[in-house]
Order: sequence, then C-alpha cells, then structure tokens
Amino acid sequence: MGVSDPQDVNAARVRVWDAPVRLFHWAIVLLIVTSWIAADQGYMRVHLWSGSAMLALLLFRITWGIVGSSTARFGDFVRSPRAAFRYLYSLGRGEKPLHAGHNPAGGWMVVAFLALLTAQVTTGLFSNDGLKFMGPLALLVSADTSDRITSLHGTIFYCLLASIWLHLVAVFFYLLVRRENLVGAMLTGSKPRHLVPEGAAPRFTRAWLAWAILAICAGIAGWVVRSQ
Amino acid sequence: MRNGVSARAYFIGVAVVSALLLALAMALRPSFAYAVRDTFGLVQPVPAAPDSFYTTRVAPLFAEHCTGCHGGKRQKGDLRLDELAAVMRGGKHGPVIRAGSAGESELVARIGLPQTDPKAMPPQGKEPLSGDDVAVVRAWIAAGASATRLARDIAGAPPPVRKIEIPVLDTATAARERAAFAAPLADLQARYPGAIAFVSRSSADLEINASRLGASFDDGDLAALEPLRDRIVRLDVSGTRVGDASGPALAAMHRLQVLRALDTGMSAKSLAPLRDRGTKVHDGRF
Amino acid sequence: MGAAFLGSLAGRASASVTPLDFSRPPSQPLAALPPEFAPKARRVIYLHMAGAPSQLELFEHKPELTKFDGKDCPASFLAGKRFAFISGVPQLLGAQYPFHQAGQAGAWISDRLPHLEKHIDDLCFVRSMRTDQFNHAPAQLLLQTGHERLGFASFGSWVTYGLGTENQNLPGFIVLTSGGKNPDGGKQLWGPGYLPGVYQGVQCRSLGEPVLYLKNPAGVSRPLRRRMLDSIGAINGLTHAEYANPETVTRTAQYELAFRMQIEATDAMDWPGEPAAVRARYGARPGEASFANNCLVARRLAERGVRFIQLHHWGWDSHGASQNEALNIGFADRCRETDQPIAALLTDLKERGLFDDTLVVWAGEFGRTSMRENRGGQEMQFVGRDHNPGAFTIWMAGGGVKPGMSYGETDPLGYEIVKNPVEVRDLHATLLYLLGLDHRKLTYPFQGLDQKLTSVKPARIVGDLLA
Repeated sequence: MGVSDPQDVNAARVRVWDAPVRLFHWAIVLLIVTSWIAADQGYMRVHLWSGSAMLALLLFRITWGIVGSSTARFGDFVRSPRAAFRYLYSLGRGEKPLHAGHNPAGGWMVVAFLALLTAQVTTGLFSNDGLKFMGPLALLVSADTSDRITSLHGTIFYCLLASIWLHLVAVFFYLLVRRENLVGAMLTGSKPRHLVPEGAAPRFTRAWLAWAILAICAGIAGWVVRSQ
Repeated sequence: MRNGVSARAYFIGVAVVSALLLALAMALRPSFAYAVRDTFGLVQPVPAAPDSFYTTRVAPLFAEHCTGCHGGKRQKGDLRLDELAAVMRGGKHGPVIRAGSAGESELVARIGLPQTDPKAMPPQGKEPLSGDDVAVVRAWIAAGASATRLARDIAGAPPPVRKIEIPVLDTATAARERAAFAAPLADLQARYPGAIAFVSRSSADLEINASRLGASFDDGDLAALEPLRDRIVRLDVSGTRVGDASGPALAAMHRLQVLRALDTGMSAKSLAPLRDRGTKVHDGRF
Repeated sequence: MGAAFLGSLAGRASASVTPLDFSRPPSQPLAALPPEFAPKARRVIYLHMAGAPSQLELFEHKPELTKFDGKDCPASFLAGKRFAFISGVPQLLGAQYPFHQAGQAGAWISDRLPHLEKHIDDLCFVRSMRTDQFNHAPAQLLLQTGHERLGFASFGSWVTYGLGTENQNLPGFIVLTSGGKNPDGGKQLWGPGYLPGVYQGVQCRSLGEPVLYLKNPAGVSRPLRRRMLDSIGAINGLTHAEYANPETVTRTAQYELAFRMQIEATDAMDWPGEPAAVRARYGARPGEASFANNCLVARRLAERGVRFIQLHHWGWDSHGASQNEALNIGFADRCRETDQPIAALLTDLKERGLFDDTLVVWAGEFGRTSMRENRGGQEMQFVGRDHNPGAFTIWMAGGGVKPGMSYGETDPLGYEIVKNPVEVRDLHATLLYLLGLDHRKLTYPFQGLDQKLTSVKPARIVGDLLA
C-alpha cells in the first residue's frame, strides 16, 4: 500500500511516526481517561496502576526523545519559541508549512504535555486521598507536605485538561481547516506524501531497542512504586 | 484536494463548542459552576448568623467529621461543607440537602449508613457521627436548613454535648498574686510542712490540711494563719485541738468554701455562722 | 517511615500542648504538686471488679432480652464477632435476677445490690463503655494502664506522678487485693511502666503486716534502725557524689519512706481499732483479707492523704463453667461480698466529709454477652455469659461526677452500644480532668515519645459526666 521505506520516493505515504511513539501516545490517552475515571469513582488501586504505567511510559518517552527515531527526538522538534511563533503566524496567514514530525508549535505542545504529565505523576507519588490511600512515596514527606502536594496534583490535572483542549483544537484545526488528518497519522504512523516536505527522510531506531528501554523503564517505575 | 473551512469559521466554531461544553459542565456540576463563578468574583456567600442553630450546632459537626475531605483543603466529590452556601449547593451529583425534608437529603442518608457500607460517610476508618449528631443534622434540615433560625426554633434536636475547654495555663497572673503574701507563706510552710498548698498551678488560692498535725495544732496555730486568710478556700482541721476560740479566725477566712472539722473541739453552734454564709462544713454530725 | 509519618501527624495534633513540669527534688519524688487547674477530686478510690461483672444482672434492665430468653441469638450479633468461648448459635439469656427502679432518678437496679441501692442517686453510670480487648489480662491492662500490652504506666502511677501525695509517711498509691489474690493482669496493673519505680502502686496486705519486712527484725530497735539508715545514707551520699545517679537518691528516699511507714502504715492498717458500729457497717471481720476489710482500710487511707487507693476484687468471670462461675451461684456471692462494703464506704466517705473530693470508680474490664455461654456449642450445667468487649457498664461517684447520671445506651438486648460510646482513653481523660490534670499535658518522655495515659489516639473529656 505504499507505506514503506522512507527512501521510496514513489510511495503515496511516508512513514513518519514509529510504533513506540504511537503506542506511547494512545496509551497515554487511555491512561489519562482511566486515571480520571478511577480517581473520580474512588477506584484508587486502578488509579495507582494507571499512574504507575504512566510513570514507566514517561520515563521511556523521555529516553526515546534522546535515543529514539528522528521524529521522536527532542532535538528534532524542540525549536526556539520564535520559530514556534513564526510557524503559528504563517498558519494564520494561510500558508502551509510542512513538517515530517512535530511542527515547531506542536513540539512545544509535546514538551508541555510531557512536563505536565511528569509533574502529575510525580505529585501523585506523594499524594494521599485523606482516607485509606496513599501514593507510594507519600510516607517520605510529612503529612502536611503530602496534603499540599495532593492539592497541587488536583491543580495540575486542570492544567492538563486545558492542554488537552488546546491540543484538540489544534488537531481539529488541521483536520477541518487544513484538511490534514493528524489523528490518522498518529494511528498508522504515515502521512500522505504531499504533506511531508520534499526530501524529508525520517530515520527510525530499531524497535527492539524501544522494547528494551521500555522494559527497563517499567522496572524502574515498578521499583519506585513498590519501594515504600 | 478540497479546501477546508476557513480558519475564522473554525475558531468561531471552537468558541461556540467550548462555550457549550463549559455550560454543560456547569449545568451538570453545580460545584464546578460555583468554582467558575468564584474565579470571576461573582460569588457573594451569605454567612450564617453567628447565633444560629446552624453555626452553633451543625457547622461544628461538619468541621469535626466532614471538612477534612469536603472543605478548603480537599473537595471530594466536589462537595464543600465548610460554609453554608457550599453546603446548600451540594456536590458533583447535585444538592445533598433538601431543606425541610431530612428523609430526602443525600447527606442525611450517607451519614446514617452503617460504617461497613461503601457509601457511608465519613467512610470506614473515620470517626462516624453519633446518633445524636445525626439527629442534630436531621432536625436542622427538617426545620428548613435555615441560616438564621435559633436553637429554640429547631424541634427535636438533642441537647448539646457539654464540651470541656481546658483554659490556657496562666501561671504569670498566679505568680503575681502569690508574690503579695510570699514571705508569710514561706514562714508558715516551714512551720507546718506539707500542710499548705496552692489549689492549682494557675491559682493563688490555698488549701490547708492540718489534720495530720493532730493534737499539735490548736487555736493558736489557726490564728497564725491570719496572713493567709484572704486566700484560704479549703481547710481541714479534723483531729486537731482547734476549738470554739477559733470561731473569729474562721469567720475572717471569708473565702473559705469547705471546712472539714471532724473530731475537734468546735461546737455546732460555733460552726453555724460558717454554714449560714455558705461554707460547706463537714463536722461528722448529721 | 511510617513512624515519621505518624510522628508528624501526632506533632500536628499536639502542637499547641506543652507538657507540664513534674520535676521534683530527687530526695522527694512523691512531693505533692498542685494540679494544673482547680480539681474536683483530690484522691481516687478505684474498685476494680476483676473478671468483668455482668452488667445484665446488675444495672442494665433489658425487658426485651428477658422476653427473648432462650431464643436463638440473631445472626447479626454474631457476624464478624469473636468470642472467648461461645461457638455455633447461642441462645439469648434474660436477666437472672429481677430488676426494679430505685432512688429519685428511678435508675434500674437488680435485687443483688440492696445496700448500694441506697446510694443510687449519687452514682454516675456510664452504660456505654467499650474496649477492644476480649481477654481478661489485656483488657485489665487497658483499663489500668491505657494499653493492652505490658510495660505501660498504670493510672494510679500517673496520678501519683502528676500530683504526688499529701502524706509523705505513706506511699502515694496503695493497692489492696481481696484474699491477697492478684487479678489476671498481674502486678502490672499497678506497675509504673516507664515512670520511675517510686510511682509504682505499693501492694499492702490487709491481714498481718501491711507490708512484708517493714517491721524491724527481732533485736533491731527503732533507734538502731535509724543509725543504720544514717550510715547507709552517708555511703549512698558518697556514691551519689561520685556518680550523680538520681536512682541512688531515690533509693535513699525509699529507705526513709519505709522508716516513716513503720509507724504510719501500721496505724493506717489498724482498722480493728475502728468503732464496732463502723466495722459492722462494712461487715469487716478481723483475721481475713476480705474486700470488706479493704474497703474500711481504703477509707482510712483516704483520710490519711493517700492519693490513689485501688482495691482489686476477683471472681466475676461468670461463664457458667463451674459453681463459682455461675451467674446464679458464684456471681451472687460476689455481689454479697462487695455490696455492703461498697455502700458502707460511700456512707463513711460522706460522713467523714471526704465524699465530695474523693473519686470512687467501680469497673470491670469488659462486659458480658446477652447470650448464654455454650462452651463447645453445648448447653452448660451452670448459667453464664461470655465476654463482651463491645459494651460494659461502670459507675463513678463523689468528686466532681454528676450524681444520678446515666450516660450512654445499649440496644434493647444490651449487646451493642447505640448511643454515646465511651472509650477507655475517654474515661481516663475524664478522670484526670476531675483531678485537675489535662491528659495531654501529663506526659513522660520515653522512647522518643511524650508518653501519656491516653496514648496517641485523641481522647475526649466526657463533659456530660461532670457535675
């Protein structure tokens, strides 16, 4: 179906996202929803598990942002804020700048998400629900500190919701205004050739390395969560 | 490739959809609506009257049992019970109080559940409200969940539990008062070891127990206590040789509350004036 | 880590409370200290009914229980409960003795306590005591030391530590046991725990010498004893000068107390010198270590300024496993042994002008079941009840308690508390309050914690019990 080797200039679609990035994205979507519902309904064990999974995934994604495929690397998508504003400005003028991976504004969105999620998972470790549940590391801090962190955990969640809203506004902007299906790309990993800049050739790190890193991150997360 | 909608149209759409979603959330969760309005300074809570039944009886129960999770620090289930407006507003599933009908109020139902019920409030492991506490909340709601009605207007509420407040220990005042008679006190304490003590750490009043001095304590000794007479509130002269001659000395101890005088030489007649003025006298006679 | 977390919680709870200073000169460890605030009670007479008397045969009138006598116990009573002996489905057991109302307040009482009944309007009943211990020794320890385990300071030790004692020629805390038999909880019930040993309860015998080896041995006169103590004191003084161990001074002080006690303790215990009418009132008879004799001694000790007097009676464990444990036999004997002496003690305290500032406490260690005990699932030869930690009844009288009060309530079958539960720590906090002490400030540093009688869980002073 034409999705193949990026070097294949004749293919209709170009592969831009590797499997680990896509898996990370949708797993995070699932885990945020799960965590939200679980916390809301008081299923704190579920909340703990989903938070722990998120910790593992975040560790992985940050590592992958350094050693992973080119489109996953921070070096690829973290540009200067000026670049991001220039990009937004050009969008506003109806131009259609192309990027194989994250565009400069989207890059900052990714950074914001990773920062917020990291903060959320970290504060979660030290939180307590005032009843029978305590984050795995809550005993490391005083009860007062834990309470303060808990309220921070709640605030960050609202920031996260706002970020998700912004993200969705952007995704639908691409879909409806620019006729570019980012959701599909994040699902299949490929973009139509005409939406990828000429000559762009993402390099992909081997998948087994991703699984190895993920396994190590899961181990670290498990150790942190059970270390109390 | 077809062209998409214009950016302008899109952002108008986003604004409309977002506003609708916000409105929906506010409609579904009154507490969220409150938080939004609060953020924009549109909330003016009406405080409950300070002498109202709510403030004196109900709010302390909420403070003791509920506001740890439903208060300023946390708002579990989006419910706050730390101010009346929030109490009446309810939580994420709507109002928890139906004024005038305790039986239909979610809050009453929850605090009345057995501890083992997963919906019980406070949840298992926390100190539950007592039967009387629940009755207080019920009575308040049944009488209209008012912010102003006084205790006497609320029918069926159990009488308040007597709370004991231990006063802050004030030794400075006592020390100042004690200084006024420190010298004679030291003399007399040396003369009658172990017999003269302060009533408490926070008091300059004295209690004197001469009963263990036995026959060695007589009218002369009682007279010697004269410098302390304004401070003596309890005195035990049982088994001493104090007699009727001590009547005036005892009369001068005008703050004497309790006198124990078994097996002394004092006659009932000489003790009568003390009884008349309100001193409790134990002389073994009935 | 857990400890750090709990510690931070405790630190938060007690942040506003500063412990009081209870230090004294080392040579006068029992010196009287004024209470924090004006006390209602100046001494305690604690009547410990070891074995847990059945509240359902004494003070808890439950017509419903009598109505359902012999019926199978409702399943809800048994779910999740643990019993010492009951197994299977036991039958409900109605009161074994008739009840009637007495006094101005019309409190219900059975026919087993005709003497005490005369004082019923002076008693303050707590009908909703509960404990979490269902075996005798730990339950007794909980009542007496605030902890179910060994090693904690007894209530009497705390009071003596906090207030000292008025009479330096007698111990501040004296324990008397009926027939010289110790309760299940053993001598730990009056032990000092982590407090200095000098605050331990001194067990006196009400028969023979009050304290063994207190008397001088044959051939040693009192002046000779004095010279001996002076010499030992001088040597101890040198030791103290060299090592500065306060225990040395404490020991010297103990020798001196024993020397002073030789006269005063013997005199205090010499109850046969009381007028015949007084002895008869108690039913005191020379030549035995009876509860009656101990009650009379208790009054004499109270009069002499002893701070805390504790009487232990035993044999209330009415399981129905033997005659002595039968509600209709042994239990009736226990009532007879204690009813008249307790009533006499209350009368005597009133007549002697001591009732108003003496706190009298009558309590077992837990309650008894509404069900008849069926050891091994079998009907037993004698009638008895098993242990019920979920509800028991105690009474208090005198110093500062509300006379004629009935606090708390159990269900119509007398099994579970339905109103105003009182924890043991609440009782302790309330009793200390009557003595002019804030239970949060009566502390002793040990193992990194400011230890207190009421321990770390919040305790409440039950205001409704106060006059």
